Amino acid sequence: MRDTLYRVFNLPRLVIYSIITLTMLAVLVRPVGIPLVIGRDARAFFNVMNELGSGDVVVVSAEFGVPAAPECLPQLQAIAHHAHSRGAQIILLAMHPDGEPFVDQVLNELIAVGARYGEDVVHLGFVPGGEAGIAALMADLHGTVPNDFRGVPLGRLPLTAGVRNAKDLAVVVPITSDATAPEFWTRQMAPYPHAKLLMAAQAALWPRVQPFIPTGQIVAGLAGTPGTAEYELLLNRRGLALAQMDAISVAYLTFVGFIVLGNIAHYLKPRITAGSDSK
Amino acid sequence: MHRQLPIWVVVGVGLLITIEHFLTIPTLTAASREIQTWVVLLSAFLLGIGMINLVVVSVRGLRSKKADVAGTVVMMGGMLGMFVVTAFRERMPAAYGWMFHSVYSPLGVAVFSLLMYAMASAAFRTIRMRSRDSTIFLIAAVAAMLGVAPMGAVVSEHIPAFYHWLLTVPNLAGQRGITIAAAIGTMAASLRVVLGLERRSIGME
Repeated sequence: MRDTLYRVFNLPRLVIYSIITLTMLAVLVRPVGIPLVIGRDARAFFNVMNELGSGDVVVVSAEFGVPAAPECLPQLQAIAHHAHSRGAQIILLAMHPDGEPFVDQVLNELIAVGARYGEDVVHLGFVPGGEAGIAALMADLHGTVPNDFRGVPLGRLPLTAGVRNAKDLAVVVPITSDATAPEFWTRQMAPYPHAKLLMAAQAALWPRVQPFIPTGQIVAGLAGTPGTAEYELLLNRRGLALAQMDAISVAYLTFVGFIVLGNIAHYLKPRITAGSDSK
Repeated sequence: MHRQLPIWVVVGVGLLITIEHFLTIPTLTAASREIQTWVVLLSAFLLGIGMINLVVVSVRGLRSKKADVAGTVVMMGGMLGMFVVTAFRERMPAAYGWMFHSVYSPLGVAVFSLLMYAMASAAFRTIRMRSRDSTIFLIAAVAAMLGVAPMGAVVSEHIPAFYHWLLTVPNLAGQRGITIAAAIGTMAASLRVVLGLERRSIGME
């Protein structure tokens, strides 16, 4: 009896893969509409962004590659559109080589909804150097990146002409898939307490971001797709994150189901005792 | 001389940046900012060096017949193709957009998506109550998955609250301990570099 039950619960890999594929397809084809509760982190992030006004300058840095784009691109879109809707001036840049085309995409989206290039939004392109690049950029914007992505000197663009360093910024938002980003951003932004540091990160990185929030070094953060979906709800903007939430919920629930089944199989597994045939 | 010079450059730059952080001396500040700008340029230059290095290693692998020919050709073709369309993207925006959004992006996301299958299999085979430690890990894993997903709040309002406690108490304590210990280690390692005692990075023991 125990052996029979063990054979039932000890799922082969093919069955595991088939179950997860079918559940994901089912929920993508026919969304369930699981209710979303807005958490305190997304609300705090929204409140800081919502305090922005005309004349405030926001730096939004895309620090993610293609694999993280399904989580980070909706964050970039929601944050940029929110800042624009508040009348803030946006400086977009990519600190990851893959990030630049995503910034291009968001720039085009902003221009499509009426943002004026050079006045409301500027795109600096790819800024290499990691932590040293951030330190240089925050200390001397024009010296570090003399031209925008089209080669126009920053001094000629109305938005960036008056922005010399991080003292002229209201909010800085890195959108990151880099596990070390919370540490080096908080280190390099420490000399500029006037600029509020927010952070949007992949859900897997959230435990690395969270310890900096109670200290105020990071004022608020967005945790992966669930955090972004909550933020989109607050913005009343149905974006990519909200569209992914049913699939994520069902995937996690399926994983928990696999954990339960795996433990039942482990409990039913025939024990090998001393002297018994190990085969 | 060729071995001593890099050490003195490192010592000089390290001391300058450190002193400038603590003292407000306009000349030092200007020099420090200039050096930090060089780092950005050097980083960009290193990306080019990385490409050249990859070509050299791949060609060497093909010559010695140790490399997989098809894989190497596809990799080199992709790298050079992407380099050309990116360098001349003002002239060929359609090719750049197609290479990035229709080739590179779907391939990258597809490879990353395969992790879902590995995670499903791992959830079934490895997260098991074998010992006290693995049981704690199991509870944390289930709480994190249900705490992040909206489904957790539907099952019970205590699940997100428990996940939040895990994140803000045990995780916070552990992460801060690791961060502070790593920072002290980094300070010690940096001091060795600034004082010229750490020479392995320039090939000296």
